[in-house]
Amino acid sequence: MTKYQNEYAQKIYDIIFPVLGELMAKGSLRAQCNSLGITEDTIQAKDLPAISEKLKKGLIIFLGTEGSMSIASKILKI
Amino acid sequence: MKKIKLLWLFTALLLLVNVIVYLTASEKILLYASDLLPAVCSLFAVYGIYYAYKGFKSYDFVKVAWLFILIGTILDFLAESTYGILEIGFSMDMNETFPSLADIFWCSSYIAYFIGLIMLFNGYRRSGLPLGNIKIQALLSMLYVLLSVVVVYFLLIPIIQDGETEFLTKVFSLYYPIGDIVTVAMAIILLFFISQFGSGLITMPWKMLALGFFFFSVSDLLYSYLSWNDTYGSGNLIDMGWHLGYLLIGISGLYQRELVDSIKKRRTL
Repeated sequence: MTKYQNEYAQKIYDIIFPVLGELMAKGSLRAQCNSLGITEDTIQAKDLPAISEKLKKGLIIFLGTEGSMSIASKILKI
Repeated sequence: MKKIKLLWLFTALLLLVNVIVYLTASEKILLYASDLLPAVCSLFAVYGIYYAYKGFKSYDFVKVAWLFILIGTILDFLAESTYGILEIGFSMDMNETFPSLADIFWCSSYIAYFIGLIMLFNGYRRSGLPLGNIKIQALLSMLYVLLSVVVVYFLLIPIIQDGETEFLTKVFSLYYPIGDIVTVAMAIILLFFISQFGSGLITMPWKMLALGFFFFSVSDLLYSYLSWNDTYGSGNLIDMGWHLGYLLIGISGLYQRELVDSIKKRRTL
């Protein structure tokens, strides 16, 4: 299992890993951070709404609106 | 998960029966088997995809994409049933009766599948998820171009150049391989996207769906080639590709539902 230095990255990863699996969880987090101009190591509390929104958008295609919203709301509660 | 295991077991059993019957049965039994098995398999595809469709609560584009795939499977089931009824029930020579009502259903199913798959494809592109290694994309594109050239050279050009075939027969004979080439492309793209993410539950619906369409379309292309050259007969082993294709499409639906339900369970814990 992947371990991040950044506590937010680790918490987000812990939420999405059981659903997405290791490769996809890592890939999604990296892709969405890149699209926000940050990296997994520089995530701050203020980035969480944007990351959860991006991840929600990314996961809709696999989980539908309801499923992806459920994941996004968990990230917002970190 | 129990349903998925049962369907995998059913798939294995059905393919085993398929091989035994096709290798040992008399011509009459072969005719019945080659008309009944696709109808049964396509019905399972309808069931699996319907089950996935019902799992989505919100009427978003994902649900609509699965709805189009469901419509495609229903049209395929209607086509397989119609073909069987015409051949067994009305003793029609289906090689002479081309195109038939069954062909109308089959041709319509391509459109439904195409819309469903293009929606999934566009949804993925908009998702912001990685689009994959550009070198592998280039390699796959080259392989695909090669396949297309083979199909055009060995199938499409001979059909176009044939002077004895009627216009309508030509149109339908060209429609199938062109539809298959497009479907293979979509299947390869979906498989490529999802193969970046390992082997978790989230990857299974698309993997099974893409493999299902791949097997189905390759069998269809081989059928078109054999049929055009008058070398296809009932009970040909390439039928297994269709059967496996339908069953994998059905299994993809069960995996999709399993995935959506697993999120619901996690939420209620």
